[in-house]
Amino acid sequence: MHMQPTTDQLSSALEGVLTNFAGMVKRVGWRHRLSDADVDEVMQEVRIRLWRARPTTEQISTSSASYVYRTAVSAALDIARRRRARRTELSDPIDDQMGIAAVGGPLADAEGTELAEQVARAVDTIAPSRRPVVRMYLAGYPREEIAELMGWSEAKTRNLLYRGLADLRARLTEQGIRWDTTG
Amino acid sequence: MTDDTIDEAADAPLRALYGRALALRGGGRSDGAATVSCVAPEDILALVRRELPEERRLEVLDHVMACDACRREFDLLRAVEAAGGQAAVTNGPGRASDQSPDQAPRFAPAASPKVIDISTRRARTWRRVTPFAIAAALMLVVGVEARRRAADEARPEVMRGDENGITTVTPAGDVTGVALGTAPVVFVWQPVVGARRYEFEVLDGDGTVVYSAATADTTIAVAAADAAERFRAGVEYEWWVRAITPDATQPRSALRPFRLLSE
Repeated sequence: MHMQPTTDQLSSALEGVLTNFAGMVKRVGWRHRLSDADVDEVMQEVRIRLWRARPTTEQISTSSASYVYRTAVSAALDIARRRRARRTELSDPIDDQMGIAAVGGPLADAEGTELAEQVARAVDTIAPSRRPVVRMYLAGYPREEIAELMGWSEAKTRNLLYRGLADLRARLTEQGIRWDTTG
Repeated sequence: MTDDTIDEAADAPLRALYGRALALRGGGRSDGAATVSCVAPEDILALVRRELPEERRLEVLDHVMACDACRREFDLLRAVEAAGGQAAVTNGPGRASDQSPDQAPRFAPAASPKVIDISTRRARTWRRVTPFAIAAALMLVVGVEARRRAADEARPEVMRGDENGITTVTPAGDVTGVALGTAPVVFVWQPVVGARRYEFEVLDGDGTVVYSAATADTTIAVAAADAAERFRAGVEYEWWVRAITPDATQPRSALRPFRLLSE
């Protein structure tokens, strides 16, 4: 299909501005399994907003990185709000696909599932001051990032995490589950 | 107490089990409650930006890390913040002319101290992405023209609808580089104010509906396996979307032809 020159330039400018930013977001999110689909959804929203707010190629091309960033944060928030609204609907094609992916494969293992539930219930009983740190650690975030997020020193973070994991081990032991987390 | 008291390698199975529990529940706490109100997206953003008091930060973090859906939002906002914060540091705060009526009200003014402060803090927090940010910012300045040429056919076209219609964005025309069955096919259109949902259809050359869906979003992603089953490479299809609105006007897009090409 032939494109009108103006549309062609507009689309090129949009891609030029967004490609690098999207790459950065993906690189940062990669370590914690942030899906490309999530990033793509935000970038599609940003693309539409830029196109709507900045109708000329020149305006798009000269968009500063901070402008794209603010637009992306705004888009991510709106997407989060929409997802919450959609959770009450009966079906959604995109969410359905994700749901299928989430419950397939190894998750069908009933024994492992029961053990996982026991671990999750044990985590719920940890003291509230330590529990979020343990959750974040179990979710795979390194201690350095926990400390940065909470504004804590490395020593304080390590101490709370150690105590929280000790609580968790105690709960699991009470349930008859021995779990040596100290190596 | 030393680092040796926390052995990440030994905790790997525990982490896997915890992740499994959250994935199975798909969000919510694991104490048996069927439904727990999620924290607001704004609270998650404030958590990422460390703008909350510690007590509230712990509450929000506790929920986010116990809720698969909120954790995804946390990761996404964190990644956007990190990438954007770094870009802002390198590129400087946005100009006043960057603000649009659409986005500006949701954020501090581009040149406000708050934005600068966030960017600086991100520089400390996410310093590991600095090389990427510098490279990307440089490319934003000097690389737009090159990108314009290189993007070629893969870029989306924008087709404006009629006065009361819906504007489709992508796909359009010949879409190259699509290996059917290995990646989703994504359709994007512009939002319609007040739309409750959108009804979406793809038609083949005979006008037969080969795919249809309804969504509240302005994006439909046809899963890779589904796309491989319904679409054929090199065959022209047309897609269109209709908005369901409270006033029953049901604005719709024009038919948008496209072909998926493997090369």
